[in-house]
Amino acid sequence: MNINILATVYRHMDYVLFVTGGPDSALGMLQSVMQEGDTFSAVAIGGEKLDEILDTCISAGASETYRLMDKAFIGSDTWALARTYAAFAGKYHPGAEALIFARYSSAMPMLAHLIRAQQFCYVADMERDDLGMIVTQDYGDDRRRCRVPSGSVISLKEGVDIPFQDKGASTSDVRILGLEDLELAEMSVGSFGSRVFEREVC
Amino acid sequence: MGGCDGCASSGSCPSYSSGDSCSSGSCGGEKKLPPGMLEHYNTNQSTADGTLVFIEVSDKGGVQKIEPVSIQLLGKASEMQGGRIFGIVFGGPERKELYKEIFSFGVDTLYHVRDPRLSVFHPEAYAESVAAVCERVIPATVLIGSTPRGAELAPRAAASMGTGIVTECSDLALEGRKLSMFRVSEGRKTRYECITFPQVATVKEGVFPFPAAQEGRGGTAFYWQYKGDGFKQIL
Repeated sequence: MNINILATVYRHMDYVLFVTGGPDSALGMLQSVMQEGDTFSAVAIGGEKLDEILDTCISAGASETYRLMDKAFIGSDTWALARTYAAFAGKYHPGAEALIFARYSSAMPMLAHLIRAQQFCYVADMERDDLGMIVTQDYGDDRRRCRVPSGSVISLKEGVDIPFQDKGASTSDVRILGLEDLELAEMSVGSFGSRVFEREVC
Repeated sequence: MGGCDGCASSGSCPSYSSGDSCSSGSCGGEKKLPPGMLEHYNTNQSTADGTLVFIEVSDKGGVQKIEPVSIQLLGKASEMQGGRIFGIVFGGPERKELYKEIFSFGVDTLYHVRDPRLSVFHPEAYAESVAAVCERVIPATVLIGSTPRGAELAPRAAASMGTGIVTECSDLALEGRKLSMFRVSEGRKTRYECITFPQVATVKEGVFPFPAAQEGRGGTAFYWQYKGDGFKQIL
């Protein structure tokens, strides 16, 4: 007699949150889909003043925080920025369930292309079922629910207000990553790696 | 012509050492060429020409309508006189009803990515198709309306072509094939240039005026088949 056993294998999911604006709503949305054993990391690109925002992410439950900072990154256009994000995702979180942008940025669809992932912009809601994640996209004139394949890139719709719960986690060190940590060539990022240049102020 | 193996191996050719191609054959160096000849035969320069405009169509209540910003961009493309104007539209056979209107606003060649599944916005499939059509026509400029869908499509299309993008431009100007893209940010108007082709720009609705339709104007339409699998699972 053949017995087929169907089982739902629970897997722990790892999320990456790119802090490209106020992360509060993104943290609230992440907390709403995270289950026991899931982890998320927060990453920002820029100077020291971002550490305060990353501390907020830690208090909301981030297991790790990163700040991408190197003088070689200065002058990056969205293309160079996307390459930097892609290098980070590929080296530090290659198996992430979702890469989430707190706010839409042109670098987000570029990153999705670079890592060959699907993109979901204007996300107003996230759910989770046995098969994975489902998002609701709000295009203004149309809303749709989509199944999100693992490794997709998501950005939240502006104006979505989901409060997050402060879990009181203690502040830990923000890990600073530079050009060498990301194994990027100097000519591929910053102004050298950019495609668009500011020519003059009119 | 242009082989120049002898001087390449000796390293004596100034054109070879500067990385330019030598077009004289005898390779006496660029000083012996007539003025402008070296540039004329520079095989490394891009041949990109013309403008590709993304024609966004909305289907509301069973009625299909071209987004106003797409028409405004066609008007701007005609005004800039940057060569041929290409259009790209997505959707099933019903889009054929829009051809006349699209041609009337200046499109010379229309690529219709004909697949009923693409009546719905799938950014991955749209971006792949834009890149594939660009590979065919090699436009110098790609213009996309900065609607929610256009703003999502444009960066992915640009990335798939390995080029840059300037979003939400307040003005565009063309010098030869070089596009100046202007943006206003914090009260400051700045001019941007893209160093690669095609130059991708997005523009919001209302930045450029509606052009007058040229009734009876014709063009060529090609069906384009999307063979990829960049479809989302919409529930």
